[in-house]
Amino acid sequence: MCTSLEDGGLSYLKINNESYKATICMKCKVKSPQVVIRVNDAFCRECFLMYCTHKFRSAFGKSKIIRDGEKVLVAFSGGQASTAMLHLVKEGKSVRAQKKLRFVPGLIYVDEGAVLGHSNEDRQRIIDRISELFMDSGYEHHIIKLEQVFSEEFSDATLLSPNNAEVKTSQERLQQLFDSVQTITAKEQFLRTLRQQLISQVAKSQGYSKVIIGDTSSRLSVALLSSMAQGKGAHIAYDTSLIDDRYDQLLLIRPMREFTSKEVTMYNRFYGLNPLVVPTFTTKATSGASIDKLTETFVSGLQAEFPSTVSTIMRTGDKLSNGKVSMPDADGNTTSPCMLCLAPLDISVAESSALGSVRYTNQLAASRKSDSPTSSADNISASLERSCDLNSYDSSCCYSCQRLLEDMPQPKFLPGAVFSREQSRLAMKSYIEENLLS
Amino acid sequence: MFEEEIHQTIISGNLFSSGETVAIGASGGKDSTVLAYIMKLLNEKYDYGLNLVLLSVDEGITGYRDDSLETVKRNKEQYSLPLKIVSYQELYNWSMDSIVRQIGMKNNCTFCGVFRRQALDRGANLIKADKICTGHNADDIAETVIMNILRGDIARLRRCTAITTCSDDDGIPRCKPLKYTYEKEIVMYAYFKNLDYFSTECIYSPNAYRGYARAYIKDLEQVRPSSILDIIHSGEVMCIKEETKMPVQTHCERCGYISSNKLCKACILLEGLNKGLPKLGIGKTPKTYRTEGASNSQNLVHVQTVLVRARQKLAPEMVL
Repeated sequence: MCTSLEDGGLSYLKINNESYKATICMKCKVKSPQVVIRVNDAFCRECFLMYCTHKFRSAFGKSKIIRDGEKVLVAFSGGQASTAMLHLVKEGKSVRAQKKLRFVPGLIYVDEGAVLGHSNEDRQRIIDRISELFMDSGYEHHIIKLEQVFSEEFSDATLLSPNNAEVKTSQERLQQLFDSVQTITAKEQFLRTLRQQLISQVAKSQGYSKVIIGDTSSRLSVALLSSMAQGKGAHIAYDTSLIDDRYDQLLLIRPMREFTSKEVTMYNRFYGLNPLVVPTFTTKATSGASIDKLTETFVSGLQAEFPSTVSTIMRTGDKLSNGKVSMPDADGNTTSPCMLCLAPLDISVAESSALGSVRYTNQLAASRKSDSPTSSADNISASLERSCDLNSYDSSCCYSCQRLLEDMPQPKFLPGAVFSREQSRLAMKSYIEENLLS
Repeated sequence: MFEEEIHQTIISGNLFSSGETVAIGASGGKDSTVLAYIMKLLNEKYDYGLNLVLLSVDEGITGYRDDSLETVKRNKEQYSLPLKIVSYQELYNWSMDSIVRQIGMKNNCTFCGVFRRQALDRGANLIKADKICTGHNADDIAETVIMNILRGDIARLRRCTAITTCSDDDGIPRCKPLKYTYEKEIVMYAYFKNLDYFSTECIYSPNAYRGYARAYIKDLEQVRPSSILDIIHSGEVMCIKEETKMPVQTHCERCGYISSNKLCKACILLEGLNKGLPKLGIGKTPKTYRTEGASNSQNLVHVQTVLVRARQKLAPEMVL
């Protein structure tokens, strides 16, 4: 195909800005352009906003996934993309809209301040601003603390006024848990997993069947490469496609996935919207801080030079499917999903594979270690204990989450929900076995 | 331990069976030198019963390949393995030096890459090899996975992580015994075993785009050392939608070598060279050329018009 990419003739792919100067909107051919999207397409303000609305609505229209009157939870982080998404929903519901959106939106904000190291005042300030925004919208809304991932149930009462003492202890527990995670890469992955679980739990308990999240193509192309680098190749379609159906009776939808971050930013600017800036783990870090951050630097660097980078990555992702990763195991039971990220397990692979070779190396290393007299007995027993600890997760976690747990020395602090699911699965399994035997 | 791991890779992947003739792609660089050394060692130690042959391709690059071939020749003596060298000059009547003289420094890697792949196969045919093994290491494979995502090359993305690629029944299967071996390990192994290898960058290779992927892989390895294997795992378990259109592999009408189109890339490139149209086959091939095919040798007029059209279409900004 494009084998010639391998050489020095790259200059042709690069943007050539010198010769280009648009004087008229390429859509209406009347007004003067105000924004250049893609490479050379200049749009005036009105045409650009219309183009955005159209793009947003066609994401729903094409797939017909949302029925009339259905409750849809809008995941709102305050950032550029979700600010634009919320505005697009509001516009679609307003009387001005030509064809109104027919679903019933609700809003959710997850406060992650506890693990991101924000002070209590900062957290309160952000929450105040968000609740003001949510009140203005007039939709049903929920502001949840990440700590609540430890609570067992989500009744209306616990959502509205969480028990303060309980929140305090679970805040400490959560902070302890995140402090024990050794790498930022793992922290980011873990936070993402917990956030999605929390949102899906709230959505289910509040009668929502769809959640929309504001991932843009820029974000998703980074996520795709970053997922690859974290061993999530089997789950790329879950992580980046329009619909993520890994949760039981709940669909995660990404209606913003055709937007670039530039389009989203311009949309907000034209409407005078002010997204919130919430500092995260890597906000002030160098590019090597985590895999996500590194990938983001890599992709945005390439995108600046080769403007088709993001779209090519997205199109590659479109060709991937979830596949049938969860094969029935030896007993004929279909294996259950990964206990952390809930995606199907991808670890039943042939012996000749990357995972197989890692296992073999570990085996070799372990046998070497026990042979060598120099290492102290304490060391061995400690490492053995730890490996036993981890081994218990080996069969119930996907490849990538096993990597995550390796960076987490104390998995016993994991939220109860994760374990209860695991226990109920084991209970179910033993129940089936007994019944089959009898 | 290094040796045992590669032995395990070979055994679990069922790479070879006893009595086969195996061609080792030898460039004189560190990967292939380590590969040749270790294949010989394991073959004797575990009694694979393989007949090993070194196979080198001489691209005809003065100041690079001639020196590295000297290394291969020394390896031949050191490991007492037979050596076969095939050269671009004898296969195609063009050496890389003469190609570069005609087309300049740009795009010449396309020629080299396309020709080398075929030259290895032809060389293996000449020595009647049953398998070819190459020294691709884990870093190379991870890099290729990332490259193929960035280029949207879904067919290669699926193929590139396979440990053995076998085009069809009559092609010679290729395998990569060092697939799970980090580049670092190879360098350390070569260093400790004091192996004699050649390390210089090709004088014609700017290799820009792959350079980005390479830098990314190296950075990833720093952040999380398991990343390289994690990428290979990702590549192994990823599923491609069934409805995705895949290029069908057929055979080139002119030379019989496997190809996705009627004419294989090597033949198109070669035709371009011989007719003084070196841009032919670089970048997007015009549809007309791909479907109707210039192989229609009775219809020379047609070929001529297509070629002219091809030249017109491939104005500089169209290349790539």
